[in-house]
Amino acid sequence: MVVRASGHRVRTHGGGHYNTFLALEAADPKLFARPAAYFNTCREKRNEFSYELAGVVSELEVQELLREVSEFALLVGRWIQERHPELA
Amino acid sequence: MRTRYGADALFPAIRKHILAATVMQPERWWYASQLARHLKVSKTSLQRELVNLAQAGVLRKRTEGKQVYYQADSDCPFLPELQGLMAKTAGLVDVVREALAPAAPCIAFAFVYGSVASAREIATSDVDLMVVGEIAVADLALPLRKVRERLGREVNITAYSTEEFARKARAGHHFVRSVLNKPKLFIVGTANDVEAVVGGEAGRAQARSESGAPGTPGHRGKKPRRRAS
Repeated sequence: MVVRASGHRVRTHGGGHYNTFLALEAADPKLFARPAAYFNTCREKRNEFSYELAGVVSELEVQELLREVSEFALLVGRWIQERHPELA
Repeated sequence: MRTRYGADALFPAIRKHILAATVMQPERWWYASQLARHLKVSKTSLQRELVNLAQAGVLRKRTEGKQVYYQADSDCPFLPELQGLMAKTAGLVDVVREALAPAAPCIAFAFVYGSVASAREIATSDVDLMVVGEIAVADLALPLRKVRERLGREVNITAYSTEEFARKARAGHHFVRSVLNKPKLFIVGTANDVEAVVGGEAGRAQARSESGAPGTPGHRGKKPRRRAS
């Protein structure tokens, strides 16, 4: 939503998630650098481990991801209302 | 209180950074401008150190056209020791420690495991980092991104609360047990802190692996990634 609201579209074939997080940060570095870096860390972990090993995602990490995603959704909602009220 | 890390006292700053970059990625050839960009220093400030290290047999030199390339010299008789020293100081541990420093009070222990800690890494080996404590990975994501940029390697973090780590170690959880049984480079805390959290047989296994050091049998090399998105 942030990327689209900023007037961009991420090409989905090859590196779609990576490019999305780059574009997210570029849309508002001050606000989105932290979640973009965090989600990219999760992406790397998924690439590194989920196809090779089971059980490497901890309960702490799952709880944190659920919390961060909820907070991110609220953050995006506020950002759209503030920066692109016509889309809210 | 310690105000300088080991490599700062042992080497001048530029030499330390050159050694960290070259001996930690021994297969890689660097040309001077590329190394200067990587280290964020001027090319002229590197030249003397590069020449000295090549003359001392620590680096080897190759010329192609106008470019001069440098690589860690695999014939250097003390290269393995230098790699071990750099891994524990400027090449890895200090860099990761600096990134974790703001969160250190919340960390019970943190260590690097896997091929880098086992001294079996190749140039592209990822850094597998285990952090145990009451921390949030989101708070570490930006500092760890800087670590990636400095080391030129991916950093894969796995975080546990102390309670979950201890519980899974005692229950024989395959991943936690496998990490406990492998060599480690401690970033925060020591083997004693692991023992204090884990205790029992799992803690003793940890202590045994500590005495094993690099090359402990049973190390599983990294498989290639299947895909990235």
